[in-house]
This record gives sequence, C-alpha cells and structure tokens, in this order.
Amino acid sequence: MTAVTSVPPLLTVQDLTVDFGSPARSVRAVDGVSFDLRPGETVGLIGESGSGKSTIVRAVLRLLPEGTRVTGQIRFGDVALLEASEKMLRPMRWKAMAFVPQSAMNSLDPVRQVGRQIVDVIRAHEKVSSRDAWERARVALASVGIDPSRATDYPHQFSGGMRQRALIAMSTILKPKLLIADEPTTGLDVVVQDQVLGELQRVCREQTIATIFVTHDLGVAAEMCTHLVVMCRGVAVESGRVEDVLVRPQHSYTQALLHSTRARLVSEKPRQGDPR
Amino acid sequence: MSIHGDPTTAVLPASSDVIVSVRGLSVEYAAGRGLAALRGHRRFTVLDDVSLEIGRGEVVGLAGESGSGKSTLANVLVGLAPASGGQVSIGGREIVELPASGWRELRRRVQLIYQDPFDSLNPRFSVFRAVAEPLLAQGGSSRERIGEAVHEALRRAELPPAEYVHRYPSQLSGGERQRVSIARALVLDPEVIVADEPVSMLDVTTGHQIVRLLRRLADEQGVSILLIGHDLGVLGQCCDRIGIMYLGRLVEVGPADRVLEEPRHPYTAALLAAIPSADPEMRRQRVELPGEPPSPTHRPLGCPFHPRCPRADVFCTENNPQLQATGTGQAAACWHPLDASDLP
Repeated sequence: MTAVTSVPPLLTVQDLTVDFGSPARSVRAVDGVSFDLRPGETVGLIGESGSGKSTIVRAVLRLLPEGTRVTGQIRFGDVALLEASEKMLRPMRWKAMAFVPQSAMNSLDPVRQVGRQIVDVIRAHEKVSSRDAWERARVALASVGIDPSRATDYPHQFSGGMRQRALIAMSTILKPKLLIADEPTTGLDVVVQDQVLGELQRVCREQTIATIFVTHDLGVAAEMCTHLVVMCRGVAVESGRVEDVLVRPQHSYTQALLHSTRARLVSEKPRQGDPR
Repeated sequence: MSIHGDPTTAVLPASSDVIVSVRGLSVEYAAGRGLAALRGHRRFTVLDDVSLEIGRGEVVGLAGESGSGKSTLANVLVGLAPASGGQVSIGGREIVELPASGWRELRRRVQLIYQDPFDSLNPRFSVFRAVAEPLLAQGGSSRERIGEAVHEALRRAELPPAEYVHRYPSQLSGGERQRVSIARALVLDPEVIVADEPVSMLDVTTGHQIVRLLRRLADEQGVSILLIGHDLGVLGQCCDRIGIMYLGRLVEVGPADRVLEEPRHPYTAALLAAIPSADPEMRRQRVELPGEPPSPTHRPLGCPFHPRCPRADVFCTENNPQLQATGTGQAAACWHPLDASDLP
C-alpha cells in the first residue's frame, strides 16, 4: 500500500505471477501482483470468480498444487515463503498464519468433536495438557458467542454460522500474526453474516492481527478492510485505501463493479425490453 | 391465512389471472428417527398457515433465513414435499394429495431451478441431453420434436444452441450452467418456474444477468416465477412482490418497493439493516438481532419472532399475529408494526 508509515510490513507480495498447466498450454492466473500488509491492517482482495484472488491466497499459504509455476516474492517477516521448505512452514501454519476457509462444513472433520479439533490445533504447536487445551478451546468458543457446553458437539450439530464462528475461534486460538479469510461468509444468511463479520473484526482488532480478506461483496469489503486490491483476470487493476478505492475509483472495472453493487442496493427494477 | 382489517391486495397478484394459489398451507414433519418418526408422536411445523398467490407473468420473491420454510414452500409447489394442510393449486389444478400419475402431467406446468449449477447438472450429460431429459422422462416426443424443443429452450435461455448443445458442464461457466438449468426448466414450456436461490452461487454481474433473464421470461413470455433468495438487493431488482418468511410463517408481503423501502415488520427491517454498505463513508449500525436463527423444532409460543424482537412485549409472547394490511400497500404479521417515524 502507499501509506507512509514507519512500521515495516508483515507481509510483502511482490510481482507475484502464477501459471497453471503445462508450460506448453499454461494459464496465467495471477499476473504481477504486489501489495504490502502491516500489523492491524486488513487488505481486501476483491473481484469476481477467476480473477485470481484465491490463487494469491493459496500462494501465500503455499497450498498451490505441485507443478504450478510461481514467480515473484512473498516475504512474511524474515521468511521468503516461496522458497521455504515444508519443514519450515509446518510450525508457522496456525501459529504464525492461519486460514479461515470458505466452506466451514467441508473444513471441519465431521467425525471429531468441534472442541477436540481446536484442542488438536493447540497441542500440535504447544506442550500443554489435554485438560488445559480443552479449557482454552471452551474459552475461545465462548469468545465468539458459542455456549462452551457445545464444545463436545460434532460439526453437524452446529448451524452454518456457528461452524464459521468456530473456525474463527480455531484460527485465532494461537494468536497468529496473519489471518487469511477466503470468503468466510459465503452461504450464510445476511443476519448471520453480520454477526460472523462482527466477531471476526473484533477478534482481529483485539489481537492486532493483520488480515487478508477475500470477498466478491463490495459491501463486506467496505466494512471489513482498510485497504483493497481490485483483481480482474489475474491483474491488480487498482489498489489503495478503502475510502479512496470505493469513493474515487480510478479504474473502469472498479467503477463497473461498484455500479452493479450500488444498483443492487437501490433496487433498480429492470423494465421490459431492458438491454442486457 | 386469514386477513384481518382492511381487505388487502398484498398477498394477491396485481393481475386477476392467478396461476399459483396457496391458501393456508401447512407442512409438518415427524421428529425422531425410524419407528419413532413413523409413529409421529412428535411433529414439528416447517410451514404454518401460509397464503400467497402468483399471477401470470408475475415474479414473486421469497426471502428469509435458512429454516424459514421458503425452500419447503418451493418443494410443495413442485411436489417434492407433502402438504399437511391447506390448499395449493397450479393453473386451477389442486396439487395437495395429487397422485404420482397426476404429477407427471403437472410437471409440464411447473418446473424447478436449483441453487447450485455445479451440482444440479449431470457431468456426463451433454447440454443437449441435460435439456432433453425432461422431455425424455415425459415420453411421447419424436426425435425431431425433441431436437427442436431443446434448441428453442436454449434460445429462450439466451444460449446460442449450435455453440452449446455438444458441450459438457465442465466446459461451462457458472452463469452458463445456470442458463442450461433454465433451458432445462423451459423445455416443457411451463407456466410456472420455481427458482430456489438461483444466483446465490454466482458472481454479482453474472447473477445480475440471470435475474434479468428471469424478469424477461416473465415480462415477454408470461412465465410466472417464484424467486427464492436471501439477497434482498437481488430480489428487489426483479420482483413485483416480495414475501418475507420467518419460522414457517409469511410475516410481511407486498409490492417489492414498499417492503424494501418502508418495511413494517421488525424482522424485515433487521434483514435490511444487515446488508453491508459499499460506501465506506456511511457507517451503519450493526443490527442487534440476538440469538441464533430459530429452529422449527423449537417454535416459540405466540409470535415466532418475539424472542429476538426489539419491540416484543408480554402480549407477543402469547398471541400469534396474523397478516394485517398496513395501509401502505403491504401486509405485516406484527402486533407492533413499524411506521414511517421508525424509518431511518
């Protein structure tokens, strides 16, 4: 981001380019994207499907499939993430950077108690007794508005919103420096979405977690993010502070996105014979 | 649902040509599993006394949280859920207790579009086969007739047939898949299309196009559409009337602009207030709607919304309100409806 500040960036993505497929028939999913993220900031990656936002996130998490060609640099603190070995990455996952995926149903183990899954995360990284870990899991669930007595429930006993909140509790339990949330409220009802976003914002503020927030909803982005990167076909067409991007968009694609969102909110009813 | 107070047109379509008529519809499911469910000692209500009509060429939207019963209503209309009480008719034909043989004929009149265009198309079927399937299931069409009907349906869904008939779902974008689903629904030339969250999995601009397509099908071809969705912005774009459901009841219904701009039910107001604003300079208040979304297995007594309602009093805990005309064109089921002074 362009903001002048003495705080060094926590995450620097520089000239990131990702190609899928064989070298002969490759598809460029991300093309020369750069951005910085400082502690306490939330950068929103916005754009439509196929624009490359989730690919950027997977590159940062090093979750891209083998054979994907990635160039550029991603620095997280002192670590060059793209060059880091799996052995170096393993202790960082959950502990230094955590991930809230899109579909809470598919990312919780259906045959393991929700609390147990949080305990697993704690005990994979810290030498604590099972009893203490369970206690921390209950406190974490309570902090996102879930009755601690539900810690021994299985995921199917939770509503969609509760599962997503449980994932927020799980992903922040080790107080990571960086949280990556990929469309964390897709599929939730609007009232529940509002509650989940509120929890996420509160937890991140309390722990000054830097967040990468992937969304296609400009309304959600406007409320959650301090900075935005607008993605279109793998290219960052515009980036900057949220107020600048949304109030004075420079790029025509941002203007078009914003127009369709605004049009939605004023409920413009298309008339008969309206051009497509 | 009986309407008290002034006669209201809120649950009635603007045109007199009623295609879908739902009167006092209730749906109950048995609780428990196995034998306990069969005995049916414990039952819970997922739709409670719902009345709604849809006119020819009218688009009616239904919104509400998960578990509010909107998909159950859709399923009753296409014969996938059994009604426990009330009357439902499509094109004058009563569908409650309709035998399976009657449904075969009725399928020509009412078709469903599903939410997920990635799951609702068989990946091994070409577009041609997917769209032809309802005709094949109905039987009695010649090969030539099927070919013509598939091409016509694809054209109505605004997909050039020659380009698409040989493709497979994996070669299509989400928006194209949803258009194939729409073509599949149109191939029987139905009077009614029930669309259950057809755009919630799509991008904003793609969803926008699908909604506009549905609107055109209604305006230009007289198809009646029940559009189920949770995005009030999308419903507002396309619907003539909107109904808001909460825990199996229709709590507010009326012309789309009235319901969205001057909601009378506190729940409608909460739904509207929960929509994030894309204007970073306009900070909205986060809605205080306490508690989890309700479950039909634990229905509160009285007004179903009272445990979460900021306006509820003791009376609301014991008495379930009926839909009443509000004098502004819509009807709301609330003892303490909002009025103009409550609006921001």
